[in-house]
Amino acid sequence: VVQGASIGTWEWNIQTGESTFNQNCKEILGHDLASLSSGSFFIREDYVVSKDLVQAVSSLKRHLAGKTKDFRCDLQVYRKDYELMWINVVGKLITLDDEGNPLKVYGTLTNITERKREERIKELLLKLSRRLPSLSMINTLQAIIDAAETVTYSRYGYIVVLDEEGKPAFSSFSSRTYRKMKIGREDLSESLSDKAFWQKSVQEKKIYIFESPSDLDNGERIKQRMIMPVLSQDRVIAVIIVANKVAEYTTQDKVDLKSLSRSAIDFVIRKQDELELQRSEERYRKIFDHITDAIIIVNSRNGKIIDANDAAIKTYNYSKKKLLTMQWKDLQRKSSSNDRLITNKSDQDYHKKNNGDVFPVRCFPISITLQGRECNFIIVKDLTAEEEAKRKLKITEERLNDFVSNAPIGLFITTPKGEFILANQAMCEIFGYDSVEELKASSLPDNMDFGRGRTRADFLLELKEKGVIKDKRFEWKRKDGSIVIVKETARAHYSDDGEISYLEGTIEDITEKMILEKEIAQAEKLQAVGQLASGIAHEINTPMQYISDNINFLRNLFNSLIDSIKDSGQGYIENLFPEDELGKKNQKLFKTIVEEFPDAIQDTTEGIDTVSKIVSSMKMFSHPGGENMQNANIHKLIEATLRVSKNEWKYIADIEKNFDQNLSEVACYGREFNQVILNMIINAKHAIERNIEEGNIKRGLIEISTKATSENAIITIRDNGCGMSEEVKSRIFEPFFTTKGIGKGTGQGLAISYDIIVDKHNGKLTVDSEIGKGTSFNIIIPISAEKIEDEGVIG
Amino acid sequence: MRTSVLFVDDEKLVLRGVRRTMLLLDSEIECRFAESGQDAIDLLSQEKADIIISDMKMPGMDGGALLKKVKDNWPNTFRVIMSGQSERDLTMKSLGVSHNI
Repeated sequence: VVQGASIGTWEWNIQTGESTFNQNCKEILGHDLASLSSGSFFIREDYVVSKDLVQAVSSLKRHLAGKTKDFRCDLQVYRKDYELMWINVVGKLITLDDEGNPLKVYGTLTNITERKREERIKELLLKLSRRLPSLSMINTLQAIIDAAETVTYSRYGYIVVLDEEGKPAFSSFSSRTYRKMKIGREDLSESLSDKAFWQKSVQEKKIYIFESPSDLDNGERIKQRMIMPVLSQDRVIAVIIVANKVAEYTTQDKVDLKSLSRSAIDFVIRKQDELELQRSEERYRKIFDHITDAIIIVNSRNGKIIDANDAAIKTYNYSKKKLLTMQWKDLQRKSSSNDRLITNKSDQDYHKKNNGDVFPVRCFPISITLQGRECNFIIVKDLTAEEEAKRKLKITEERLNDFVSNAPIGLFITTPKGEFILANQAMCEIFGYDSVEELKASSLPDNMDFGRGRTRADFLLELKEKGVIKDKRFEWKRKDGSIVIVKETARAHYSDDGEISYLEGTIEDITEKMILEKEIAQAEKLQAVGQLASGIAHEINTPMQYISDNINFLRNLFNSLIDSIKDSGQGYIENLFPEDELGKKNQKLFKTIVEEFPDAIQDTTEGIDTVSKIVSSMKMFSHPGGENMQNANIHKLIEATLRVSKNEWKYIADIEKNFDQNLSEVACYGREFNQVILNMIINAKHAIERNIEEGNIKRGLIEISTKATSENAIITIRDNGCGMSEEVKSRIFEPFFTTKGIGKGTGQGLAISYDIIVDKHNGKLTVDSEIGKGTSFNIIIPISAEKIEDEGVIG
Repeated sequence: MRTSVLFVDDEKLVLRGVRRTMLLLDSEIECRFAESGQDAIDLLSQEKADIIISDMKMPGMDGGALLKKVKDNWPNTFRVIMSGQSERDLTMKSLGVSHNI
């Protein structure tokens, strides 16, 4: 190690070729100075490594030619022990002979082996560092062992990487060794390593140089070796074996190999780490980019977006480049402070896209440290679809709720006992309860009558048999005790044991429908009767014709007969029969005949007239004209209606007619008009009946008056019935509104009348009423089929 | 002893027809005629009848009401209701007050 500690000096006589050295030179070079003194030592072929020799000679020549001030060169020379060493030689031509030829060169000599070795190691490492990144692991190992071999001037090199348990994992020979290799790898590795030293070296973590000759089949012989454990974090991770240096291995070689291998292994480790990192980064990127939720990584300190995955790019519709210039708050609809990012709480928010669209999100921030920076790794879940689904579900739910609550039909779910689990508003209304709660709390289920002596158990049994009960009619009691006719459809749900767990179904209030059906049946009957009536009227007319004829004939005949008898003078009857008992009896009979016959004929004729009038009224009432609007004498229509309805009113009321004789023909639908008049008369009759019951009057009066204005016919039907309140008055034209008891009125009469007058005749129907005094209806219709003018109403 | 019969009907012509029919029948029957319930009560008050035959439907006092009164005041008078109508209510009403034939 002390070698080259000082500078050697020398002089060289060019002409004689002799050199002289000082003591330092001897120490540096380790040679007998005498052996060097002949000729210039630094251009001796036996001494200087050949490639350096060439350089030294050309450098010297240029100097001697006067081209350079001095000459300097670094040379590798062999010491006496064949150890190669580096020396730096600097020389200068000092004296010339008289002819100007060079005579003597003076110079210095320095041992630069250490520096050169370091440089070499550096150079090797530099080469390694350039090569390693592109090399595979095995090639890396080879590069390292090549370098190790070179740095130690060895001719064989072998490296073995150990696994965590210290067993060989993989190995590589140096390229030179590999080229020389003729034998199998196993053999060579055995020849190169030495078990005892290997173990010693690995255990003690020390470099050993040892001699352990071993012949190879290529004729060479492995002699001296150096075995070195490579440490990383105090663990032996590899073993390097080099062998067959020309000279002996020195401590310097140990140092050099150690230094090289440490750096090289560092490279490898770094490379492996890099590979690992690269792989994990790739993996991370892959995961990062393939996650379907948007992920954004934000610098916690300044809110800047550091990274974003593909999903984020797609979601926000920014380019990645643009995103990486933005801040987290730029994505939020309302920028908030970044403080909230620090909290690891998931949060619902609204974000906006590049195009300004706002969408609901839920953010899951996770604090992470990335390359030494505090970051928030934020998973952004786009809730648009979720919200949409929620919204749809909500709408569906609301619709369903609304449908159930407000369905115009009663909907229910009950226990088998009939207790309500669910009931809607219609259900409450059907049973006359104010609220669903009241209905649920009521004793309605206990008081249900299942008809014909049947019980709920029977009902459930039937349901169980059929599965569904459809349109079952029941008459049930409402809260106020009145009867409601309902139609029930029910379905059963079963528990696992096959018993009914609950029922669901619909209840429809068909009370009005039933009444209406009755009425319709009645109306159909009436219509049928009406149709028959005209036929019957016709049939009656025929016999009435000849009855009438024959009666006239009989009257005339009788009159002629009596006249001819009377002609015989006073007491003609007595003259006709003898004065005996039989005669007297006949006289009496004859007297009766003479007295009664004309009266009987007269009464009969009256009867025939009445029948004829009724028949023609029936015809007039049921078939006053065609289906179309026609001009008709409304007085005749009214008369006919009065006559056919006479049976309705004659026992309780008188009719007073005040017809305006200026009014004759009015354009109308005759039958419908009659229907209206009839409805009015029936209503008047009912009102009068009630007023009689209430003791306000003894007998009713129905006054029917007509009046012609320039445009309109006004028909007023006034009664002295019970009248009605304002509240009733306001509702009388509503269908089904009635103040009459069930079965007596349908609540349809006035609604139909209204339709006929207002809609069909383009007229008006008004009403005046006073409670206890009476009511008058005013029918105003255009005389000709034109639009009605606004006329003041009579009364 | 002649049997006295009181016919009640608000239709005058009906009564006249009945009278004529009766004219030619048994002279032992004494017929009287009333055009309303009230008339009938008046006539019965003057002189009671063995039989009363009344129409059902009449303005004012109807047949049922009349026979009720007759039943109360002249229980021995045989009461008959005549009805050409099929008016169930009124007929039923009369059942309690008329004798059943």
